[in-house]
Parts: sequence; C-alpha cells; structure tokens
Amino acid sequence: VALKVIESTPESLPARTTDAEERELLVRVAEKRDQAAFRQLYGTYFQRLSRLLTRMRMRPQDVEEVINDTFWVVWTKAGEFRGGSLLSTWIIGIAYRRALNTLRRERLRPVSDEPVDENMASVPSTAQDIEYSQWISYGLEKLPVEQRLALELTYTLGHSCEEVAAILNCPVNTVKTRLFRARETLKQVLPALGGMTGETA
Amino acid sequence: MNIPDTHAEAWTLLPWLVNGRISDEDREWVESHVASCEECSREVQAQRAIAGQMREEPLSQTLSAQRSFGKLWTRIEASEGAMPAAEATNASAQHRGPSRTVRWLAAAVVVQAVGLATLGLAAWNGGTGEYGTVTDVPAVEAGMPAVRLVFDPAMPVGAMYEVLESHKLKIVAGPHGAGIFTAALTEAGETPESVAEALSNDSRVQFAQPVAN
Repeated sequence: VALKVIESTPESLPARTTDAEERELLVRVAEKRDQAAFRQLYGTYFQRLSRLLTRMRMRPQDVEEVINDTFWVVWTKAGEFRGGSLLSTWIIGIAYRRALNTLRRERLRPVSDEPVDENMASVPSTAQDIEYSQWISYGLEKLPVEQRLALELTYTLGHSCEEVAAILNCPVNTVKTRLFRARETLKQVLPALGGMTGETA
Repeated sequence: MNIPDTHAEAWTLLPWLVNGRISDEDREWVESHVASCEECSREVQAQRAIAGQMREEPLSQTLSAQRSFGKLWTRIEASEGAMPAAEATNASAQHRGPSRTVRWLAAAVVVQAVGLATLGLAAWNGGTGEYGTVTDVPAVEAGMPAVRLVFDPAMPVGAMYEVLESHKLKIVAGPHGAGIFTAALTEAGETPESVAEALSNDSRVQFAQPVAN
C-alpha cells in the first residue's frame, strides 16, 4: 500500500507513519519474516531516503544501492533492534553511514564540514531573475554536505536536534553549529531573504 | 541567564521551533523570547520560508520503489537460498519459523523414513531382496542396434517424443525399474555407441548406454 502511495506521488513525501506503527512492522519482519511488512517498511522510507541521498549529490544508481544496502541490514538485523532510539533514527543512520562509505569509495564528493568558500557563495549576475525556490536550491548547493544534511533532516524530514545528532553520529552542539553556519551561508547567498532577515546573533 | 545568552541560545534553537520539534521545556522560553525580539522574529519567518521551499522542492526522482524493492528481494532470496539451512536460520531469522530449505529437508527425512520402513516390512515378510540393474532389462531382438536410457523425470511426455525424434529412436521396451527405456535406432549409419554418447550430452536425459547384442 505504501509503495502505491509513493508511485502515484513521486515528488511528495508519503504520510509519516508513527514510530509505534513502524516498530510493529519491524517486529513482524523479525519474528515472522513477513515480506508484506518488510515491503511496507521499505515503501515508508524509500522516498525519505531517496531525498536525503539525493541531497548528498548521489547518483540515482548509488541512491538505490544505498537504500537496498540499508534495508538488507534491516532485514538481517531486525531482531537486534533494541528500541533505544526511534526506528527512523536507526534506519536513516544506517543509510547515512552507507552513503558516506559510497561517497568515500567513489570519491564523488568531498565529505567535510569545512566553512564554505566565500567566493563560491557569490551570486551570478543573472540571479535577479531566478525564482525564490531556485535560490534555495542554489544556496543549498553551496553548503558543505553535513550542513545540507542537517537542514534536510530538520526541515524536510522533521527531526529533532537530538535525532539529527543520533543520525549523523555527532554531538547535539555540533548539529546546532552546522545549522547556525548553514543559515548564515544561506543568508549571504539568498538576497531574496534580505527583507526577511536581519543582523545575525 | 543574562539577556545576550538567552538571545544566542534561542537563536540556535529556532530551526526546531520552526519544525515543531523543540522540547516543551525549551519552547516556552524560546517563544517568549521571540515574541519580544524583532531579530529572532524575522529569523523565524525567514527559516519558515526556507523550510517550506525545501519541502516543496522536487528533487529528481528517477527511481521506482517497486522496482528497487524487487531487486532487493531477489538478492535476499538468492542469499538465503545459498546459505546452509542452519546458518540461514541463525543469521537472519532468530525468531522465524523454519525456512523453505528446512521444511524441504524435513519432508525428505519423512519420505526417507517411510521408505526404510517399507523396505524393512518387505524383508520381514520374507522378501527376496531382489533388485534390478540396467542389464536386467529384457534383451532386445538379436542384432537390433539399440540404447537404454532414462529420461529426466520432470520432463513432460511431449519432450520425451522430441528427444526420441531428434535422435531417430523408437521405444521398443520399457519402462522397466528405475524408468529405463530401451530404444531402437532407426537411422542407418548411426551406432548405439554414438547415439548413447549424444544422449548423454542431452540435458533431458539422465542416463544412456548402448545395448550390447
């Protein structure tokens, strides 16, 4: 059922299932090797992970590989999930680490949290005509991958600061710092925000 | 906490005020601060705009969830089918029921046990203990070039005719014990040895042997 939702609305995220509902599916996978439950769980996360991995500038074939590697782990380790965190934190965390390995292996993109080059954040002369949404995309492209992911996890996937920290396997303060820097960079890149943003803290 | 620290702390928490995932404890004082701080208030508006745009932003999606899941499931089935039953059970299904492999093995054990019991009963009832071999098959007419062969038991009858036709054979006896047929050669110039060799290389034939006359 979840898969049909995804197929019919390819650009929107499916309605979020609750952690309790997802855990119930995982229990069916662990105890009964229930393919239907596994398929539903896969469908629930496919679009979320696909967006997140695309934000990491992964190619479609790499996105699929990482998602399937992630759910391979879910299938084989379902019985080992002890519930110390949200199931989403566990699954997305696996995908994130797999993606980092893929990126490092293929050297597609540097993975670092280096401050963005100021020159890179300069706006092209034709930018005046670009729509606001395109400005956002442009601005996001200028962010280091870790800052971009922190934004995506927070604003698109709706995770708390603690959940983002668990997924990215870093301290809570690091997440706050990454978002702080990301906001500052976006402010420099997005003149359209000029009327909405003021001096920084 | 003095006022500058409150502002700086609130500033870092604004993204989670925007996405609604700030803790109840923090929400109270951050909202109170934002209500009285023009700079934070503007930042909340700006971040809400960014968050809204990010959620609406269509990222290129060329993947099909169903097709991708199909690939994963094929991989899982191939992996579990290749694993020894005990390993598959332990590694990927700590609490699962018996795998398909285990169920088949269990069924095979039951069949084997029934077979042994039947044999034992036959012996108890004074069975002769006779058994058959390929050479026990009745002899064909003297001088007739022929082969003995056993077809793949899973093969349909139509395919059997195809085998016979392709090798120019005609069944003259059988099937005898273990599904052995005797087939005569109908093509001049062929020998039982060459036909038996050709049949041995045919995946549809389990066994082939020239008949010695």
